Amino acid sequence: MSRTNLQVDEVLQKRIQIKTSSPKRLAMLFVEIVMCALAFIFLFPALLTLVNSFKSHPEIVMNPFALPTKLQLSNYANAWRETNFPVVLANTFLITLGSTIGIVLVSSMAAYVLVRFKWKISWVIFLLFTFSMVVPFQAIMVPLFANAKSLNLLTILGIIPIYIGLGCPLAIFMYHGFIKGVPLEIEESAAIDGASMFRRFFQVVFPLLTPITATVAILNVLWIWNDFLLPLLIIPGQTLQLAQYKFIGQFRQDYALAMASLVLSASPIVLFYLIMQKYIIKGISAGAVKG
Amino acid sequence: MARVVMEHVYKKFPNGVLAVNDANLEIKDKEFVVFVGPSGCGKTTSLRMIAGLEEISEGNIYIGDKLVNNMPPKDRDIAMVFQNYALYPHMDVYNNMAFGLKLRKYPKAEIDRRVKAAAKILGIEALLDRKPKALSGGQRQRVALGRAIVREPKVFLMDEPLSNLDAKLRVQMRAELAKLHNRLKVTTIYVTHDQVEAMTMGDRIVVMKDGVIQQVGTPLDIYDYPNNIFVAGFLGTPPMNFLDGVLKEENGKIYVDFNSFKFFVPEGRFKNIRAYVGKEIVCGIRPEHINDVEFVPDFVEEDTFVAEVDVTELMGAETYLYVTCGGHSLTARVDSHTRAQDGEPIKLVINPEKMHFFDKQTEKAIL
Repeated sequence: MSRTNLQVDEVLQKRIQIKTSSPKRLAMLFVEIVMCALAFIFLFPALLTLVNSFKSHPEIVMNPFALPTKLQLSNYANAWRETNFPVVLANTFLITLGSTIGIVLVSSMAAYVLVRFKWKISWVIFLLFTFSMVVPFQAIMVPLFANAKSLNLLTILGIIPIYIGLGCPLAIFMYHGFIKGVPLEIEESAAIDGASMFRRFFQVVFPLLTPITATVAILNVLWIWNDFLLPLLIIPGQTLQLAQYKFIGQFRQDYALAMASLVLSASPIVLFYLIMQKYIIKGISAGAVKG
Repeated sequence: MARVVMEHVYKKFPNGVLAVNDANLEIKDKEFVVFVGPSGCGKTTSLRMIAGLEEISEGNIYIGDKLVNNMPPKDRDIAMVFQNYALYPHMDVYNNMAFGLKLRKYPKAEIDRRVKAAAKILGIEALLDRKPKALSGGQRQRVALGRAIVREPKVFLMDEPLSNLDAKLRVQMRAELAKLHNRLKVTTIYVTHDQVEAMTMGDRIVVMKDGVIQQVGTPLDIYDYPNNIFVAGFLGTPPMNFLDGVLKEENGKIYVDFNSFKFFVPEGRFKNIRAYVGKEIVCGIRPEHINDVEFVPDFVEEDTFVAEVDVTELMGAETYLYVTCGGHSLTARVDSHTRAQDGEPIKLVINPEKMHFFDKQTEKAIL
């Protein structure tokens, strides 16, 4: 017993020595200060938005950094009403969910085929997908709009296939790297067990892709939820982000409502992050190792 | 249950590599056949062709009486155990074993009965609700076997199933696999590069090299009567000694001359070997057929030679002597109580009846 205690003491002493050894401690302190400063820089605009969302417009104009003298909760009620919040929230939710599911399904299946069928054309198609990632959206914006119009895609549901098309290249790239790491024997074993290719993919391979699927889903949810330019072209005024545009214009500048509306629009995605952060970190790190 | 037949089977990969070259083999019903050979010899490719995971370039493969050349793996009524187990990581042990039966739409009660019966045979009943990551290597191996057993297939295919296990567990699982085969009596094709596994487990061994079947036979047959230098050198630990010499005849006796020493050929073998008199041949002798004279009560002086001991390796029950004689290096497996010392000369005796002779050009055995 006493011997065990002695060993524990030794270990603890070593740890304390490591903690208190001055050059390492100083370095850690420096890193911590830098991290705190960075956190403050990143959080400051969000904090400013939150504080100003409870102030009146004149109060904001006079001193944007001051705390509110009286909590203007009516800002939220007005922003909710003026932006038609439930409708734009539902639209954004539908677009984000539909597009993300579409991207995950299409790109995982495409990447699977591109990895497992080692034809020359597979490599060419994969390269084409990769190249398309470097084409800026602004370059394809006008023809995309023209095509979407001719295909009657200028609707809430019509924007979903456009998002799927735009989101697939990066997702295929990520899935491609990950699927290469899935042992082929598992699929061969399933083939001998009697599974068809679809069953092999959905019952055996797809569950193994959970880490990268989480990463792909999270990246796309963040992108689609926050996207401004594409909905502006296709469905003006009908998503949460476009609704923010209402309060800042040529003839109107209502910072109080704008701030309250921004808090309203950001809160679902912040909530999503807080719930999913464990999976986000796990997903991103797993993707990094395998990809 | 079924026999497996390979008829003039070839496998040529798109990059031009000929992985299997004219394989002809008949595996009998309930037989345990081991494919053995070094890496890249075509043994796994042969197994994968039988499984249907690899297309065959030419020839025919029959399982039972059915030609299976173009039959998908699921219809061949086979089960395969992979080197890395290939368990489904997201399913528990029960579902890993039940997956194939579910796909074949067996009734739930039947699936349950089979899974539990297989789990009992393999001693993994307590692990049925665990995921593969919570199992040790040996347990995973059992689950992989269980997955094969529940299907009650015509043929078991095993691709180096023990090579990921540690040495002790490998020996244990080797015996269990043999027991399992005796119990289930299913035709089994087993691939390994480990000659000990091949010798201990197989009813018959198929030795392969560079895509060509070198020899097929019972373990003892192959060990005692190897077809060529490759087979002779591949089976046996330590490997057979090979010495280049010239076959000579003098005073009615035939011997292999190695310049500084000679081995006399027993009279019983004169008939086949006489044609090589005056030619260079390769003489092969296994280490256990070279002994320290001190431990051989009756020996003929002409079968002895003196060599210098380079290294002695005490293995417990025996000692390996690495010796040099007239520029030839030899390994002898002698009694562990030998007085041989590193750097000292030692008088050794060979068993001439156990000598092997090979044609130097063709490397084939002179029988």
